[in-house]
Amino acid sequence: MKGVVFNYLAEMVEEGFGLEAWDSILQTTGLTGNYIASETYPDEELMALVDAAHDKTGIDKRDLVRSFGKYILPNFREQNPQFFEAHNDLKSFLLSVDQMIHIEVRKLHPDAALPEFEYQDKDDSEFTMYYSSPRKLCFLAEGLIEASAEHFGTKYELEHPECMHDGAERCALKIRLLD
Amino acid sequence: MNLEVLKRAYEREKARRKKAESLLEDKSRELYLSYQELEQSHQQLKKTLKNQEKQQAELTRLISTYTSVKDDLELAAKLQSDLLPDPVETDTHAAYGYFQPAKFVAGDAFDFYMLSDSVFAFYIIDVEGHGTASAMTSFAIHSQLNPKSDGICKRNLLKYQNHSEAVCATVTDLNNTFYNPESKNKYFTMIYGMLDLTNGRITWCQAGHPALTLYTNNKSVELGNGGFPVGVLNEPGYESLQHELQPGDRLALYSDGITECYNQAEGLFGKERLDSILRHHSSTDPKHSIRAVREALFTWNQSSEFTDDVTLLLIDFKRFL
Repeated sequence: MKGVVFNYLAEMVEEGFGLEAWDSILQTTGLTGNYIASETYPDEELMALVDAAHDKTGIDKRDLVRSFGKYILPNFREQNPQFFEAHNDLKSFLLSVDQMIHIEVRKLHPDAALPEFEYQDKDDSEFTMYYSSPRKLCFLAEGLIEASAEHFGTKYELEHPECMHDGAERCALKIRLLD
Repeated sequence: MNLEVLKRAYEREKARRKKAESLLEDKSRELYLSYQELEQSHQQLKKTLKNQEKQQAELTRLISTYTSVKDDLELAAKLQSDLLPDPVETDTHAAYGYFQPAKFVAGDAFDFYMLSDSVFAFYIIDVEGHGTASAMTSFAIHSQLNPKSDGICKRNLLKYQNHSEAVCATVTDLNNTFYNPESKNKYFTMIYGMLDLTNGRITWCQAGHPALTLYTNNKSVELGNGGFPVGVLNEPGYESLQHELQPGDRLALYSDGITECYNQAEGLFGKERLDSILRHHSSTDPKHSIRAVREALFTWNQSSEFTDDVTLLLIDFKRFL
């Protein structure tokens, strides 16, 4: 996982719970916290930090990861506004993640391990994103979708009927656009 | 806030900054090395381009030289072609020639002309090799044998009334002109002859050239054999030959470029094949005979380019003057 993700996690915890909370999480995990944005660090460190944050704050891990996704998106948008400017609506944006955004990300970070998305269109207002990644960060994807919807001013309902955490091969994120 | 927490946060930031600076240095170094590599490639590319420009200039120069030489050779070939006589067709006799140079210019040549009201002279020559050097020799011989220029032919015409003496003296004089053991003069084979139209008598001198062939009553007979090529010996001792032609007889003179034309699968074209074609067409118009030989040769050669010059001369004796 890229160091930038670790730094966003640190920022989120510090903004929400204070510097002491992040310090305590690092103390618990024994990690240094010296993350450089462009460097790559073991996925296990992120998982350990999430576990420690859950222990520290008492927030459900799924909610914690979802909130993290929601926190990351505005920062990502600020650094890469072109990905958002190319789209007028949430659906168009989400459908571009696998074939456009990830391709561009790989140009900058050839060693980035990115999740894979497949899409299934039911009709104009309903579609399913299939998420698969050995990291099983499907709730991070949920948070990212939520923040994207806020950006495009779209109301939606999300169902997560199949989940890798429940033994499924991939997660199904069913999105129904409202209005 | 707990001071220890702040200190640790400070230490984390410091460590991150140092690591980031170190990374930045590494990246800068990588960038510098990449730049150096790029610069080297750029210089190499410039050098390659310059070399290519040089080669292009050299190529342009060579093409220009080649074009100039080719133009000169084409002009020489045109001049050589212009020197060949036009076909002759009279009540008493006819003469037709076929000439195919191996390159632009050839060492083969032939000519025929009236020496007087009743004497028709002819010759065929084959200078050793082919190409420019052979062609130059061929030009020089042509000049000597041209009755209008002050050469050997004209001198002997004035000097000898007897045809036997005249043809021998002409070939001997050519030998005296071209024999020079000190230089690298080219030698050549030839037949030089005269046909007296009043009685059909031909008188000729054969100097190492394939014998002339007589076609009479659908039969062929080789007349003469041998003689030394011109320019090989100091005193080759040339002799003349004579034969009385009858109306309807045909003479064929050819260069070995025909008989030695090579086909990869079948070998040499050969004297028999040439003789067979000429015999088959001996009672037809000489133009037809020449066309038949030319077509057979092109088929045999399997290419429009020949490795040696090709010459064929046909002379018909039609009636007494």
